[in-house]
Amino acid sequence: MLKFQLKALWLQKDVGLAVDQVVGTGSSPLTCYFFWPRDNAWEQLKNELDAKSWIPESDKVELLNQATEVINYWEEGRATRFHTLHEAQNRFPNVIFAGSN
Amino acid sequence: MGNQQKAGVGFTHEEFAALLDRYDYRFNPGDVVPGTVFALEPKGALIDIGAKTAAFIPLQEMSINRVDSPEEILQPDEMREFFILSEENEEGQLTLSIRRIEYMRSWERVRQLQKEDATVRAVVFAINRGGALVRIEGLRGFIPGSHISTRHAKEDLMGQELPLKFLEVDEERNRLVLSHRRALVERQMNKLETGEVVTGTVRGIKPYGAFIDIGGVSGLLHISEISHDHIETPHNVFSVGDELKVMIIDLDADRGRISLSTKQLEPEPGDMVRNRALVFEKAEEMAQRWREKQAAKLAGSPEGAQESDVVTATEEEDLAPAAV
Repeated sequence: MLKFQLKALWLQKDVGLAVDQVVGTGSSPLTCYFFWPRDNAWEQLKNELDAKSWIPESDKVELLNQATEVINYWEEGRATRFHTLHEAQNRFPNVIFAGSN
Repeated sequence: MGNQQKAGVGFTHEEFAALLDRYDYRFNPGDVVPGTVFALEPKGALIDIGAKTAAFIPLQEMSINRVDSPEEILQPDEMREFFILSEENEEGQLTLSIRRIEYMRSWERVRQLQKEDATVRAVVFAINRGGALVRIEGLRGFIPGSHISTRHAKEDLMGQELPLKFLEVDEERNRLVLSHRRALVERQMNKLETGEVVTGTVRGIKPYGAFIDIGGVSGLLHISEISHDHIETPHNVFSVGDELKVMIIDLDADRGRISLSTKQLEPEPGDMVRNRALVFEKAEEMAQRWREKQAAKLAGSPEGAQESDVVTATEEEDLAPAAV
């Protein structure tokens, strides 16, 4: 079971990504939201995770791979037709979608 | 007796203190440090953060939510981050908190969500006289009654998931206030277009205009947009419950405002006062004309005129029949 959880903020102009730590019965916020393409969310998330040496390397890789997929899917929508929150949630059932506009 | 042994190896009190300082200089109240859960106790847990003595986290500092036993949050050998709450006590033990970290990070996230004007979804977990309570990013948020939009009793919202927009995010005053109404207006707005004719019901009449319910959200028919004729008060024209056709002339998503007009639907100035039925009968036709006028206005802007020699702004009268 993954001990970390990716969260996404699904916006028309940007996509925001954050990480929660799964603890006991709930989850605990680990990072703030990082935005793409306004900022380089992937790079920022990587730096934030790398600064936390206590997180297992395999979890970091898993989280960053997920982040890449979410960003790619968002980019795909930008190139064609914006994917709705509902579509994004169906595509990524393991990601928690925190909000939209 | 420990003291005696230390004294025996020539360790003065000052030297000992200096040594402690050197070793624990990195642990200051307010710092966030990684730690490993060492042991769970009934009222808290011992955490190894690399200090000389295991640090202690009391049960009430484990989460922003109510926790009844440490097992709900922590497991032995688990790693995570902790906030250093207070300096060492006499035994050299630091007090830690997770609650503080969660507050800091949750408020930051909520500020981010507000800045993006995001719509969030949350389940109502309590209802009181003033409104309803939800959790957003772990924080307790309040929806005032005036911002709850439901045709049913407020109590029926218990356990329901609602779309919400942020009204107020104030960490210092611990205020997180949300609006259900604004989220609905936005959603409804996405379906509406300016120039569109919709059927609505008069919900309220004020000196400055009438509020019209269109599909669950409220729009304003300002007194100046009722008719080309002068209107003394909207009461002379409408009664609550009246059903009428209105045209949408403006949508302001930021403020959640929908502006309506019947004036623009009048075939002849003053028809709203004299023959309302005629206005509604011709509403679609008049709206079509209005839309064309608007389009012509846009095309008639300096840049537009230069690009297009064929269609000039003054031809709007001729365009109308052609399009119909």
